Amino acid sequence: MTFRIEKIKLHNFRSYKDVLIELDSHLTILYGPNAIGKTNFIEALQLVTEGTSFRNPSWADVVNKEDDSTSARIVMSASDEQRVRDVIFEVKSNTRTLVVNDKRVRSLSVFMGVIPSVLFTPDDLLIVSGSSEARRVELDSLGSKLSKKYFQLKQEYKKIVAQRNKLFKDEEINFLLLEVLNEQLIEYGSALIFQRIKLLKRINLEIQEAYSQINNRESLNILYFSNIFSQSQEGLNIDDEIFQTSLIEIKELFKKKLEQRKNDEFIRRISLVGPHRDDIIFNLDNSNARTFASQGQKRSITLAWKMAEVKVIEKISGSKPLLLLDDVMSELDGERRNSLTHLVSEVAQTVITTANIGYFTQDLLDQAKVINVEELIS
Amino acid sequence: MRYPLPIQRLLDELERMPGVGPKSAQRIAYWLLASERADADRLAQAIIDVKETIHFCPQCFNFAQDELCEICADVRRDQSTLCVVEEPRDVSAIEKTGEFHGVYHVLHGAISPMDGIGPDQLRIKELIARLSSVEIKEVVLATNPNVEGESTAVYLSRLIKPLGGIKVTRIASGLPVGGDLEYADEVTLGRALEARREM
Repeated sequence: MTFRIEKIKLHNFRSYKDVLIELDSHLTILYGPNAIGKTNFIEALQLVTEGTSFRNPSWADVVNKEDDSTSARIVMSASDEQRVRDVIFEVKSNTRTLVVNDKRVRSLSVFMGVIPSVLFTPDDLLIVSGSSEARRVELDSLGSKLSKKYFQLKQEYKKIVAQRNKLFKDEEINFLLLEVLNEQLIEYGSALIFQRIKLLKRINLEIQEAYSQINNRESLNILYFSNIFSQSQEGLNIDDEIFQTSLIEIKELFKKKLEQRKNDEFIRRISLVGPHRDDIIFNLDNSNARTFASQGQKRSITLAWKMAEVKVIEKISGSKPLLLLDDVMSELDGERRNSLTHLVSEVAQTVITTANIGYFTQDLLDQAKVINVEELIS
Repeated sequence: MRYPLPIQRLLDELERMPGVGPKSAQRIAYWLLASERADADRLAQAIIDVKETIHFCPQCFNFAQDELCEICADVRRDQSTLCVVEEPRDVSAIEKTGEFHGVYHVLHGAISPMDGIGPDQLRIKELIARLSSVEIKEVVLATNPNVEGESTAVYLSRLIKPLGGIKVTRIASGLPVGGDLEYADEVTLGRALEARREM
């Protein structure tokens, strides 16, 4: 059930003209000085497994423009015991196409999740200390890998909020249309909240366990804040009975809250109620990690979250994910590095980039295929 | 490379067409340059004719050559069943099925405030006027099964229901015929289950 990537070829992609990398079936370490294009390689792997990039580029930006080329291409081959999966990702005149086993993919929702990947970059430390949006994005990207329904719901809900916000900007609001959009907001928003609760419960189970592996003197659990349930930004334990509600009950709550805040919405002319304002709170020894945790603790929480992602993907989809670690060893100290090393043994395949090979234990280096990126491109 | 001005003008015009990029434009332009004078004249005339003779049917807003479009003018069609679609191409799609014997109403888009399209930018006023002037028994809402299409369908149903005496229906969405259940994506399968019917 678990695909492993055998090789990946980049053509005119970012800093690369033409480069072929053959990956080890278990662990590949790419090392080289900064600004040589290690992260571009991680991005390419994310594009052929998930179809999206953590850098959110406009597609024209990924094309290497050195000799006036207008297209970029990534070709990847993967296989498990019985099947092969050949993926071609191509950018041409600012549009992206994906081809799997010679067949063009029409919708991203059927592409993602076949080779689930978990990406960890230095930016991920913002999951704890950044805005609530960073946490929603992280949660939704996991949900999208696990279920097409989740992905579509997220996209559709986002669109309805944008439509509704635009309608609020009209001088004379069409009230019948607002009523129609309200119904859709409630319908899709409630379904998204329902999915998020289900997913957060799974993550909560795993993150408690993961955190105790990194640090068994403290305990971590997840609180969920959604403004249809309460007004206090503090959130409630995801296992609280308030989150045992059915989808129908969520819709009722949503409807009531929307009615309550109708006037505020008219004054501020923006959508105020719904999961686009959700937040996740990391509760470390009963205080909010965002404000109380040290830098080291925040790193541990991010690491525990990634470990939980790996577990949740494995349990729900039945296949072990691909782990992509972009220059994160330098962010972690010895104890946390050990936990990350342990995680490598639990996933199907890992690709690590680093500027300093010295961060790795001999034991890990012995298991790995080590590639010097400078030699690769010369 | 610099082209002579007439060729450049042709390329510019071709590139404005949907789905035509610089390379396709160049291919078409070279083909035109190599073709017989009569072929080029025929193409030019066809473009002029279509602009001069084709207009919107004043009843359904599909393309028409005569006063009314072919479908509205056809006495054999059931004038009391009205199918509302977003675009003229949707009329062709439904016509190909041969399953619908009523008449159409083309909205020319779907409601999307984000894109500056509200009810006033569509042929909705005309639809309501049509419903009150002619005896219509059923309106079939055949807008696309996406968020905008759904908003438009719900909006229309709210406008039409108070008029009284008109049955409002929505086309079902679900599984394609000839497909295997196990290969259907979850969203499609979910929709199909929601709209299941008794046998």
